[in-house]
Amino acid sequence: MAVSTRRLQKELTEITTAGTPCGITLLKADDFQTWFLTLEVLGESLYQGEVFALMFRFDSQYPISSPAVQFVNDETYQPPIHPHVYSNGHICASILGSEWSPVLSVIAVCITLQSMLASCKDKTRPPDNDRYVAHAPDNPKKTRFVYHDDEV
Amino acid sequence: MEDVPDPTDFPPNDIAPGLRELDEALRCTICGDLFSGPLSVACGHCFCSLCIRTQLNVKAECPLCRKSTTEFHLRKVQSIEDAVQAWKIARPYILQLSRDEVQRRLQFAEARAALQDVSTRSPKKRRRNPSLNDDDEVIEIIKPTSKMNGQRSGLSPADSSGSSTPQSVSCPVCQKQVPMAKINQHLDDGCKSPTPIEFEVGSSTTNNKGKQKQDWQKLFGAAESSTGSKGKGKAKSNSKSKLEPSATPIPKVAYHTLKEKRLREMLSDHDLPTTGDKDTLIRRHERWVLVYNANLDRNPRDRETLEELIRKLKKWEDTRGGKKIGVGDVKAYEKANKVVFAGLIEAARPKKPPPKPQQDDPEHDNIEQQRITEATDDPSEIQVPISSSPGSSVPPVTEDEQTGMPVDG
Ligand SMILES: [Zn+2]
Ligand SMILES: [Zn+2]
Ligand SMILES: [Zn+2]
Repeated sequence: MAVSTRRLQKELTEITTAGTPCGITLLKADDFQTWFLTLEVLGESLYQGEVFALMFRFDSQYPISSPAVQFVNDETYQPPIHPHVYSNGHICASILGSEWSPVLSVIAVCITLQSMLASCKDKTRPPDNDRYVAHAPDNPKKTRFVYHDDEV
Repeated sequence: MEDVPDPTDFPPNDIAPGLRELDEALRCTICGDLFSGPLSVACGHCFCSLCIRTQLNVKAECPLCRKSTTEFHLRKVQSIEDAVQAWKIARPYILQLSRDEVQRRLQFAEARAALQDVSTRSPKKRRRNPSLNDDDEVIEIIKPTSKMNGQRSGLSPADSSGSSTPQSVSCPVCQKQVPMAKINQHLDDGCKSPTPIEFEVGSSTTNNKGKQKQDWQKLFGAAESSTGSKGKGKAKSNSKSKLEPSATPIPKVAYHTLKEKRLREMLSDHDLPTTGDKDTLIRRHERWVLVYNANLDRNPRDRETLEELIRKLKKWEDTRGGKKIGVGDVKAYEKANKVVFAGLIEAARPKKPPPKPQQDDPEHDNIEQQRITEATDDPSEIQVPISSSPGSSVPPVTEDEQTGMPVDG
């Protein structure tokens, strides 16, 4: 079994036996390539009552290589309006790029993104949203984001 | 789905205190498996050799605390490796014991319920008045398990077996003869008081539980009296150590200075395929250095053979590790290489380790020193010892093509 598969199997076991943190639920994990989770911000925030979905894509080098993570953008789920989230669901967060560490996990990423939303004070799209979305690659990992602040 | 061992295999802390944490503590936070060839980095955090070496090629920091660290800081952590070795042996056993303990507790709850039956003087009537007390739910839960365990003796006044007095009962949990007046206290104590009336060995229904009890006693007894009975662990270290491959680490290579021809020579020095473009050759050699040296960080008895290592390398290349994403004829490449690899794996079998100065002493404890002394035997190539100083290492792994689009975030 590939290392990525073993590792993801462990994460899945942990999720199913110990459960997920508040506001995070596992939507779909039928294989070890693509997982879906829902995310909502509990308590008071600009996103009260909104539910988002995250798509995780893993390659065979996970967890050495980071998962490709983005918000789902379809009929059911839309990405949150946030200065670091593009309208196609791509996320500008250092933890998904240069600050990724192989000891992080799917749930750890969800928690980070949850707190990114929770601390948001200005519900706007990134300033370059249209320009980026027009040329964005399918896989957000192929974008070299420039992280402007560390509050992510 | 294959069963992957995990700390949650153990019962939670209220039933088996510390076992999940113990299992967790002996696992690498990168791969989630029990440490294999554990190495510590500058801050003292510990990872599998292969995991941390691979990661340090990506980023020179501790994955856990982000303190900067390089291969220079890597140290073998012998004590952890010993602990893992022992835990691998103990784990299935303790897992079984802890599961038995869960069973025992369920039986215990059932016994208490049954006791209340007796005390309300309706020993024949198993079914309880639902409104009587709040233990009913427990009874409901344990019903299925009591079936699994076959027929239960329940709590019955001690009968024909002559040794017991009329005032004693057979404890339904531990099967000891306990004075009727003390049975409640006995159950409260978890069968510790009043001591010691021997197990009823003969009765068939007691065998299973009696054995459990003895297993626990062995477990604790071994911890307390750390004498004599450790023979098993000792004998292990006498077993013939696996000397293949030889205990000489491969020095790291500054690939960008190398000609393709030289790369092929270096690969064939290690009996590896020389097919593919320069990038493929570099990735293959770089991976081989990782896999090979990581193998040497394991205890000799845990080392894999060259054959197994080559097999692993092949598997790694097959699962895209050896290639950039987007390389065109992946299938054709794999097909071509499968043949090459198949031959090589075969060839590796009878052969001796790679052409390096052989040393006869199997115990190379001071790996660090060795790495330095054996760093270069060919002056034509710039080689950097594994324990190199910061900054003198290989160029970073080529990343997948990126759009390079600068974006505000
Ligand atoms: Zn590991
Ligand atoms: Zn650390
Ligand atoms: Zn008892």
